[in-house]
Amino acid sequence: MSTSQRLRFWIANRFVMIVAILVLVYLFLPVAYTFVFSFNNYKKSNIQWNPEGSPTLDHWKNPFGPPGIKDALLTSLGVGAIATLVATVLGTLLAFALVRHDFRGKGAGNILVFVPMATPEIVLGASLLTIFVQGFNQVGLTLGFWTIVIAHIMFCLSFVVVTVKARLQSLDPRLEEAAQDLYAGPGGTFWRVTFPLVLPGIVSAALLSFSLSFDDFIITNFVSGDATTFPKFVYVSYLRGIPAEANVIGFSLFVIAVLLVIAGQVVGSRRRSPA
Amino acid sequence: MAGFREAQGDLVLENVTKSFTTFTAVDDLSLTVPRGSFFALLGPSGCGKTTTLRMVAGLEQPTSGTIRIGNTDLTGSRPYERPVNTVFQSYALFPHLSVRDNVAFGPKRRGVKDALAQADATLSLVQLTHLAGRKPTQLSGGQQQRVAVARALVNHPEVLLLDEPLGALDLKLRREMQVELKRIQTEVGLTFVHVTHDQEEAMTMADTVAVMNLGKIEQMGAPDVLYDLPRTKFVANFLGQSNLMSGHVDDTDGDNVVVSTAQHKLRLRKSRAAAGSGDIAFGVRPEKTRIHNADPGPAAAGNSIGPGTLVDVSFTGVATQYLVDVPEAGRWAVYEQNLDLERIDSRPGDTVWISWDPGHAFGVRP
Ligand SMILES: Nc1ncnc2c1ncn2[C@@H]1O[C@H](COP(=O)(O)OP(=O)(O)O)[C@@H](O)[C@H]1O
Ligand SMILES: [Mg+2]
Repeated sequence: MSTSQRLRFWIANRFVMIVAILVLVYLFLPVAYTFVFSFNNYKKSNIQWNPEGSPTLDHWKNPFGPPGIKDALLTSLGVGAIATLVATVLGTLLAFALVRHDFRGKGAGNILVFVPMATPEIVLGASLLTIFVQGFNQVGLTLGFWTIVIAHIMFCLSFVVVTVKARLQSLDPRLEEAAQDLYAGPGGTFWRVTFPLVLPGIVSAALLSFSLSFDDFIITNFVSGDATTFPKFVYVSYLRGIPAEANVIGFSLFVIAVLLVIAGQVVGSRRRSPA
Repeated sequence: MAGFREAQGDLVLENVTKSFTTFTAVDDLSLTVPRGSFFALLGPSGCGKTTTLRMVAGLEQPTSGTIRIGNTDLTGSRPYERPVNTVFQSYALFPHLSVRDNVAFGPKRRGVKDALAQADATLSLVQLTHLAGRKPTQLSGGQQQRVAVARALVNHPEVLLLDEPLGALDLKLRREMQVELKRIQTEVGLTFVHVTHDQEEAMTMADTVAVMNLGKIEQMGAPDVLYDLPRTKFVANFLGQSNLMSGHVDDTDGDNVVVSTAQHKLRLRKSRAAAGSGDIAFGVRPEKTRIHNADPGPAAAGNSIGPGTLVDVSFTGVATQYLVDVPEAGRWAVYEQNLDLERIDSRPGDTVWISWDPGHAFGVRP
């Protein structure tokens, strides 16, 4: 066998592996960039790698150094927490109503829930801005923290409803009948059987809501007024040069998200294995 | 517990009807299940067995009629208010709870103090103590089935409902569980209402079998009585096999009626005829008949038919089954035990006669 032939076999045998690695590299390149440039000892802007004094831990030591970054992060966390809580509770109730109860307009409700998901964000943002300016200003509310929260609750709701509904629909109705047969009243049936079985769906819905809210830039940018969220802070500072502390915070959030996913997997598999 | 109805005694359904929007699943059904008995509700798929059980459990309310246990009217009460528990067709075990917690679910809801101890005792009754900590998904079908039985049994209900509990098991396990369930029922002495579409299962397990068809009870009784003397065509064919032929009662002869069919005049005990006059379907079980190479003669007049043409012979070891085409009487099956030293040497195409003991024939409504 010639060398070129061998090489061809070697590549053919490992083709899928090689493609997989390339795809992973492609996926993780932005994260890797963020990580690496959080150690950059840059002068004017964190775009070029400065070999002098790099890598440095300065940005990691004081991630809240640049003015405004801490407030932006706190705003994002606050908006995310409130929007997630409200959207999860309301969305779960709506999902139960849509699956469990018959009422006029149920069919329409099922379709309308998808509307915010299907509408382009830029359109939603523009229309929300109009509504807020037209309506809310007249009752003395200004654009800011609470308008962001209201907007985020709205677009998170659809995702919560869809996620919880799917979980609820896959629930075997016999289980609730069995609970009733075993002397559980309506409350007992709900808290002992229905809720624990739907809970994983509610938790995923909440995590999804939080990440959607935390991530959102387009709608937020329309309705935030003077308030600044973390994505807005990063976008605005792009004009002056994004501080490396944004890389530190961004990468840390990435790590937290990954840890949460792993924790979720571990808990999930524990539940399935022998007690 | 508020609303809970203590009740003791026989389970009684009176004129119970259940109609869904376009369909009557249970049609004016009345039956009594004696306290402490093993009762089987037998019928083909879709005849309304599950609907009947669900009404007894309270998961469905009858359109009309009443359901009682002893003197306590249960109609209209909620499932959790009835001293009745169900073993569901699909088991419906709680996937998020361990086997022990599944079994303890009922006692805990009723506020029993030693709920877990009772669960453990019941698990040992069904021989599952070693699996108490597992989740239902980690059990085999047969084990899940036992958990479902334990979860219902632990509550000592006045009536235990079992909806085709063995339907999902393979044949060998099914036979084992039949014996096991019968043992448990004898041991705890509770009323069991066991739904099945397997006639052999119903007959081997139950004290009383009710045969159900199209939302009605066709016939009810002890398995041997039911088998020996079916009262409807449906029962004659659903419970075992029957040779049936239509005829007309036109005479009596002492204790017998005379049934005229197209080719024969046959005798039938009055007590075994569903009708004393008019149209009737005359029947004999295949294993109650004998086959002959020659006309059995006047001695067997009224208890035999023929000549017919033998169309098939199949040897099954303990018995031989013959299929005979008798003109105007259709195809008859004859099931003869292989007791004779000298085998009847018959081949397809031979001309044969069929006879039976006069006491074994029965007449059902056509
Ligand atoms: N909720 C329902 N709505 C309409 N029809 C039903 C409903 N439940 C059962 N049925 C019908 O009632 C009949 C009897 O059903 P079921 O009691 O489940 O039969 P079985 O258990 O004997 O197989 C079936 O034809 C079934 O389609
Ligand atoms: Mg059924």
